[in-house]
Amino acid sequence: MKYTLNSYWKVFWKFRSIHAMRTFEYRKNFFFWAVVATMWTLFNIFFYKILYQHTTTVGGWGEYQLYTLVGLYTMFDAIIWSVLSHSMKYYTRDIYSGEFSNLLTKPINTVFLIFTRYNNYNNLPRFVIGVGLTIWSLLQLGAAPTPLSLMLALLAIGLGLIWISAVWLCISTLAFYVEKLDNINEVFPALRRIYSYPASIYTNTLHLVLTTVIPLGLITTLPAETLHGHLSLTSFAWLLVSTLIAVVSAALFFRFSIKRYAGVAN
Amino acid sequence: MKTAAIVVDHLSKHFKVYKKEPGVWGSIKSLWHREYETVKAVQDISFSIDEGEVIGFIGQNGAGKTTTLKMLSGLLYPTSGEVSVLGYTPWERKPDFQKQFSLVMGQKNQLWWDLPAIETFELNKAIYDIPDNQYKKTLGTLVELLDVADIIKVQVRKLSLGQRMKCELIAALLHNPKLLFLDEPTIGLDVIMQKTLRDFIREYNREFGATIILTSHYMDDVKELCKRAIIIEKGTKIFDGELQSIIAKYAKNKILSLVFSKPVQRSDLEPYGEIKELTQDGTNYTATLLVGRKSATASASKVLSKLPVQDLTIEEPPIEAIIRDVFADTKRS
Ligand SMILES: Nc1ncnc2c1ncn2[C@@H]1O[C@H](COP(=O)(O)OP(=O)(O)OP(=O)(O)O)[C@@H](O)[C@H]1O
Ligand SMILES: [Mg+2]
Repeated sequence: MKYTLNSYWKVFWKFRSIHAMRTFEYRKNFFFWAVVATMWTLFNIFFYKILYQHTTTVGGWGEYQLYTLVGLYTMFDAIIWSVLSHSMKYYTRDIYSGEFSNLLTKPINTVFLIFTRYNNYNNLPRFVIGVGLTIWSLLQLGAAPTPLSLMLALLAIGLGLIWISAVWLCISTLAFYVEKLDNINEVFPALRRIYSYPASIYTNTLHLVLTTVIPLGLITTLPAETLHGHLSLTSFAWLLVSTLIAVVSAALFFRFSIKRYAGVAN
Repeated sequence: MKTAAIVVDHLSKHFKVYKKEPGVWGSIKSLWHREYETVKAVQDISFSIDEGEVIGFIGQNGAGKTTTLKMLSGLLYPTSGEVSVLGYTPWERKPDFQKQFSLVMGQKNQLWWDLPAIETFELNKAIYDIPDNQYKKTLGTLVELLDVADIIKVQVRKLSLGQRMKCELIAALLHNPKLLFLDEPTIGLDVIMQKTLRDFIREYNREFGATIILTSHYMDDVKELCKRAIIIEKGTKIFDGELQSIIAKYAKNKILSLVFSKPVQRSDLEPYGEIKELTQDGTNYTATLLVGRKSATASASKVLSKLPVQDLTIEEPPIEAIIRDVFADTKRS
């Protein structure tokens, strides 16, 4: 009885459909937050628009080049709010309440369940705006990415997401050690600022750190540059290495930490 | 030949908890100084359970029953000791092992609150990788046994506690576990619902030959379902054997019930045993005496010859009372 990828696939989609049903159940809540998220995104784009009325480049990036980055940032943010922050919130809550036991007894990888069992769809419009903005900026620039650079850009996005998830998992796993750690899941969102700008605005040591060991600077810059046709293999290598390190550390830390899980007495 | 489903060998689990003095000042002090204390939730317990057995775990609040079940299902790592469940070490949490058991806790739920229970069932179908036809068949059987055909389509948050508990059980049994840990499955339910669940548990054991460990504070659950019981007190095992032999081992007395034709005096009865009850209301003259187990028949014949006895019975005390006495004794010692 070996588990196939097939059953993980089914579980993944079953969770998606469960949350789709819950969204329909509470559709007013959904519309409210979808509107809020959309307004927030438009406001953010508007802010960059104003910025470019006073300058022609930011860290060497022209207006439409930057919009590619902002589009990518918006996509990342949609995923962070609709998937990651949600999953991590319930993860830490369940450790504290003892509900985590439910996950531990299931014959499926616990980390897989932690990341896939929750999501909402409030940020779906936001994701679409992000995709739209990215494509629109590329059209404005007259940049037509080759299939290879498109694939590499997707790879960079994937690596960025994995890196963020692994680091966030490490942070939230601290909940096994501290009885109650409110707001622990606000640590990562605070770091998003860093990649809402191109990495080139950072200088010297900070630039070095943010594009190597802690590759926050690469999260949006790397896929954006790749789409613009500037391929940086060194950056790719660094993102790959840091992601591997993050994943291995997260896995080890998680495995070590669940031994401390005591649940609650009842 | 019977094979052991569970072997527990010198199992212990200690928790470190800190003690806070009352009040805000106590909280402030605990910032820099915390006094830790070790709670020995489970202390050197050993037992083994055969396939197909239904075992009752009895013990007072905080005795260590839930902690033991959590270790057997791989949620907690023990402080020391060895456990083998269906040939696996539980806390390695191998999927092949996890597909063969289920842990049901009366106060916990796994159902998605704002959706009908059937959605959770389908989720578990995916998680446990249950083939279509097996899923349909098992669900059909369980739904019929528990009579919940309509209920499973109603949002869980709109169900009563008993209806929800039935659905919890189905969610836990869809993958046909060979081994079932039931931690107070009947807690908070009314007498009729308790009975329904008991009948169901018995039926499940019979139909699938499942091994079951049950904890409950309702002695009826244990009496009706379990031949064998394990009594845990303050983390240690104090009894393990047939439920009936608890009586032989612990009951010091028998109960002598008497009906008299004429009034009798308290002093008339005192020589024969401890008077539990004495009614002399002009029409009924009855008494209940606790008499030593060994001397019960002798006392009875003396009472018969000395007093105006109309009717007499000698009974074993109820198991509840015996267990209460056992716990009272261990508390004193
Ligand atoms: N996570 C925990 N952290 C600290 N102490 C715990 C924890 N879980 C249980 N204990 C302690 O271990 C002891 C045994 O608890 P347990 O829950 O196993 O008892 P129980 O027999 O199930 O009781 P009940 O009948 O009340 O459910 C108790 O003293 C309890 O306070
Ligand atoms: Mg308990």
